[in-house]
Amino acid sequence: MANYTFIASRDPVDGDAMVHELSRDLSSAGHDVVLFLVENGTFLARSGVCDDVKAELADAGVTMLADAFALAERGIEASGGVQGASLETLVDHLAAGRKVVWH
Amino acid sequence: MSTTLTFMLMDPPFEATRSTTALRLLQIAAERGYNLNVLAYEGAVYVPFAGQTGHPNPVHGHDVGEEDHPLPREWVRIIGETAASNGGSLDWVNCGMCADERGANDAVDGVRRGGPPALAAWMASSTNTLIIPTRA
Repeated sequence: MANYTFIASRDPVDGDAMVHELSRDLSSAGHDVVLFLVENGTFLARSGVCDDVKAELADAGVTMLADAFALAERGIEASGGVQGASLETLVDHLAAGRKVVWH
Repeated sequence: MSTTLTFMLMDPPFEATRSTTALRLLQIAAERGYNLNVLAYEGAVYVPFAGQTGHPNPVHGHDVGEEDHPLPREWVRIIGETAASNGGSLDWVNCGMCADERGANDAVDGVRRGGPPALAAWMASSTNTLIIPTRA
């Protein structure tokens, strides 16, 4: 089992579908997957935005985190299983040697 | 055992939030005293560009001092100082060809010229590497 952290920075309706699907499929295959939303990627956390995608990711066991600073900048309250987090978490993942991939 | 993180940046400052997020990550790692390697590629060579200056904001009625415009070159300097003061380091390489074609060779102190071979060498000896791509 591998440990993956995918960083999604694009608007979810404008090009991040691949990283969502990759996260879902790797998690379903038994890997430890964190999807970390930054910048416009945090729009996925908004209620009513791609709720079906968030449900699929949650069902697959993907841990969904979102940069709390980016959420606050955009006035987004995290929903659908997404939790606000500090960028410290991403640095933790890098230091721990997880496979961190920015999409 | 010390922690060494390598980053590759590709987006220019002032245009893309990726540059800002990258600097936020570097700042956190610097505060932890990690050894940091950065390859600035393509437009990212302007992140440490020494010619950046603040400006007034007539829309808001602010002079230069009141506007206090944040400058990435200052952030690069602070990250280097922060890493050093916490027992770490910052080795920032600007891609030489990228800087030449953009006229961006006037970088802040501590930035050196190099290229992708530096990235390859760092990757082999780092705890981890984060490539931050430009948006296609």
